[in-house]
Amino acid sequence: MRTVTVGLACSAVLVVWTLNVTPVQAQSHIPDFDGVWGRDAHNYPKPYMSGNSARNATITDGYNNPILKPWVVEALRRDDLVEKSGHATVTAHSICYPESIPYVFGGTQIQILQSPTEIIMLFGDPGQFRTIYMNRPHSSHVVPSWYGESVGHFEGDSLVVDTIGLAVHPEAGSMGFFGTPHTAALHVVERYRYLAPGETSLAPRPRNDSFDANAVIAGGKILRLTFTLEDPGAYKKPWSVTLDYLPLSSHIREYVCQENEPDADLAPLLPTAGVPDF
Amino acid sequence: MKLRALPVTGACIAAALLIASGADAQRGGGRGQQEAPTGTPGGPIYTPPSPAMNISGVWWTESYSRKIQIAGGGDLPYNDIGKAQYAKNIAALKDGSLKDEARHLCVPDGLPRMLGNPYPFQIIQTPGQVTFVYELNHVIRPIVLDRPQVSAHDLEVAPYYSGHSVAHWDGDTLVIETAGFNDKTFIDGTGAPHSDAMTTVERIKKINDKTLEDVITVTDPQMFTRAWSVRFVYDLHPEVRIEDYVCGEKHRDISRVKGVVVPR
Repeated sequence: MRTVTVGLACSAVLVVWTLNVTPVQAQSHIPDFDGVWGRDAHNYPKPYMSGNSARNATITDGYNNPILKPWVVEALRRDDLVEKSGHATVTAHSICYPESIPYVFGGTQIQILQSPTEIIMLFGDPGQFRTIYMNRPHSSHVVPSWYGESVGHFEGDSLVVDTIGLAVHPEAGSMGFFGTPHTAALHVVERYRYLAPGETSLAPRPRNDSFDANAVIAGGKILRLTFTLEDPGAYKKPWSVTLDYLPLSSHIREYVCQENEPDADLAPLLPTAGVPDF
Repeated sequence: MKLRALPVTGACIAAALLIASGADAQRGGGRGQQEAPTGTPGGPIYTPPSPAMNISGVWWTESYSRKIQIAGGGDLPYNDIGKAQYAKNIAALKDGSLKDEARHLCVPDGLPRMLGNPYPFQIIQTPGQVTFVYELNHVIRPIVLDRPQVSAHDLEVAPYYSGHSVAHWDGDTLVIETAGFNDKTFIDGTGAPHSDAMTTVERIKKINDKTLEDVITVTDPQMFTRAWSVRFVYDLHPEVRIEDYVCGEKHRDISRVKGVVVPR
């Protein structure tokens, strides 16, 4: 009976899948973003931060920014109070949950693995990955997940990635410390392109504490990511962040979050399985 | 060279173009350093040189065994030290003084245990690299091709759960050599131990269009009397998307995989 049910379910999924596939017209020129990319920061500037500086940015002010809905301000203030009280703030990074989009862009290294049908991104700091399905529309019923559902296509020299279905997981914190609080309706559009010759880079000088500065490929192209967040439940208008990445000759290292010595406040919050899956 | 996205049927054309473009294509046009004379971004999206060398896709085993099934049958050939450690692990797992961290904290399973896991995994081939991403614990193995192993010093001071791997193609077989493991992982689900001196050689090959095998040979003189091998077989599952995996959450139904016993 179980086999029959599963079989029918699979068939149904396949039918839906087939109906949904309307491949975008492939363009004759495919930009190549394959490689390891680094930026020297553990955060990214947000419009509600003072100074708009990626480095050392903290959520200490900017709460009066009119784009923030009151509950977002409250979430940011709560994190801030915890931090000021000398305790560790709960973040996806500190307690080993998936960092999700756009939080994960607060990290320093991305490897882009580019194939004709999918782009896989490896994120060096949290040791996580996501998949972008190329030239296909979103599923008709997106199941909310940590990294959401991402579909991508090329527009000229740019890679455009559209992500929806980003679940809200309070157990991983507000997402505000390195990312930003959001609702399940968050819609993220990422655009990747190389800087044109003569275009000014925002990339800060590399430091050895984020990645091996000697691994930066001298004279290599700089990859610019601009992502735009639209979430009427959290922000009164869409806002964007631009980040520049330097090309690296190094490779993504193994990163096992659970190996880090967690703060005493946070140790009990790490995800664990009381009963193993198998 | 500019190349549009090619379906699998375009592999022959892609192969010809790759051969024509020579080493640059093998190294890849990415990372921006091999800029086209015009200054415009672009380059080939990598397609393996032959269909037999195209091991990309989502793969999933049909069967799982908690106890590792070595070639030739029988038990793992432990020496006295290995036997004592194995007995110790079994007792400690039973009385709770030792945790199977791969299952309870979701740290990587390490080799060879990871290769026998009952969840799907994906292989992605890009210029100069073969990357394995596993649904189980979302483990990443980025394996660089045709590069020397890191120094003996690095292997010792920075051991990895999944070890440090280098790889090359031997005909249609991908050969992955791995060293620099930590000793925190088990050989299998019974708690079988290995030491940090373990080294492995995997020979990965397509048996047919939809089946992949990975024969791993394990050498660890500190624990075993001889090298031993295991063969893992996977089926291609193009309909499967790799899903989230967070410890303690509900995950994919793996009851289709023979040998899986879901604890109650």
